[in-house]
Amino acid sequence: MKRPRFLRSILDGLVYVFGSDLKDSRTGEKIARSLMFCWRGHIYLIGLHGKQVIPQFLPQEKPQFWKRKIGFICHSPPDFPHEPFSKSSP
Amino acid sequence: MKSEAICYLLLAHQSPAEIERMLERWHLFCPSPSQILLCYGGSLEDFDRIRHTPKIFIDDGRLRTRDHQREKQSYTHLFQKVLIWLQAHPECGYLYLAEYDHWPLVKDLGRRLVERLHFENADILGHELIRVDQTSHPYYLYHLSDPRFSSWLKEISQHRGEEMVFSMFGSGSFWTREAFTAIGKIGEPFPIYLELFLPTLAHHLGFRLRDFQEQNRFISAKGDRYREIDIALKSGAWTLHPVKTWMTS
Repeated sequence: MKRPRFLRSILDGLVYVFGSDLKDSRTGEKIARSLMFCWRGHIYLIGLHGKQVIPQFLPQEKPQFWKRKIGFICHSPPDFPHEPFSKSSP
Repeated sequence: MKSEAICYLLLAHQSPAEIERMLERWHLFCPSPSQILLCYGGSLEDFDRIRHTPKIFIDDGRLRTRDHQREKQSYTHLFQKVLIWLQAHPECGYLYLAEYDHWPLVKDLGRRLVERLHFENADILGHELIRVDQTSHPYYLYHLSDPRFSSWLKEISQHRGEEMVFSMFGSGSFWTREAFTAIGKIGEPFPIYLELFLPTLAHHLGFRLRDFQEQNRFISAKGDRYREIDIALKSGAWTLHPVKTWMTS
C-alpha cells in the first residue's frame, strides 16, 4: 500500500525541523538533510530523497577510545572505460 | 562501416487511437532510414487493431507491473523480442528506448544522440545513471535482501573485478546495437528491477555507460510535465518525461 501524501509531508517537515545537514566527508559539500536516530541497535536515516550515501567510520588524528565518528560519502559519477571481453574470458 | 540508422523502440500500452497520435508525433522526429518499432504491452485485440508497422507484441506479466520497483519490472522479454526483429534489420546501428510518455522535442534528436555517444566514447547513454553499490539506494538495498542477487553480482563481476551496481532511468536510454544485443542474449537469471539490471549487466559485460548529465533535469519519474514543454525546449531539452496529458486531451 502506498503511503499517503500527507504522512510524507509530515515526515518531510520533521526532517526539516529536527534533522541535520549531511555533508560529504571527502568534499565537505552538503548532500541532503536527514533525521537520524537509533532504535534497537540500528541507526535509521529519514529523508535522503534521491541521494545515495555510503556510511563509513572517519579517520581520527589521535587514538580516541570513547567515541567514533561515522560520516558519509557518495560515489563519483560513472566513468569507466570500455573493456570488452578477451577471447579467453568466460 | 556502422550504420547510422536508429531504431526507436516505443513502449506503450494505450488504445490504438492514442498510439496513432503518439506515432504521428514521433514520425516527425524520425527521418528515414531510422524507423520506429512499436513494442506493445496492451491487449492482443488492441495490438491487432494498430495499423503501424513494424510492431511487436510483448506478452509478459513482468512488464505489466503496477508497482514497478516492488514487483521488479522487467524489459528482458522486450529485449529478446527486439533481438529477433533486429536479425532481419542489419541497417539499425543504434537503438533508442522510450516509454509512451517520453516526448521528443528536437527534430535532430537522432543526430544529437549519436554525436553524444561518440563524444563520450560510450556504448550506452542513460538518464540518472549512478553507481549505487554499498549506498543507501532503495532499489539496491531491496535487492540485497535476495541472496541470489549477491551471488549473481559476484558471478558477473569477474571480468571487471569489482562488484559494482548501477542504476539508470528506464526510459530514454540510447544503445549501440552491440550493447543492446549482448544484454538481450543474456536476460535475467531471476527477477531484478530493470533500472538496476540493465546498467549493471552492461557494465560488467565491458560496455561503457555514460550519463546524459544536463538532460536529466528534463526527466522525472512522476507527475505530468505537459505544461513545461515550451520552457523545456527553450532551456535546451532534447526530450521531456513524463508528458501524459496529450494522450487524453
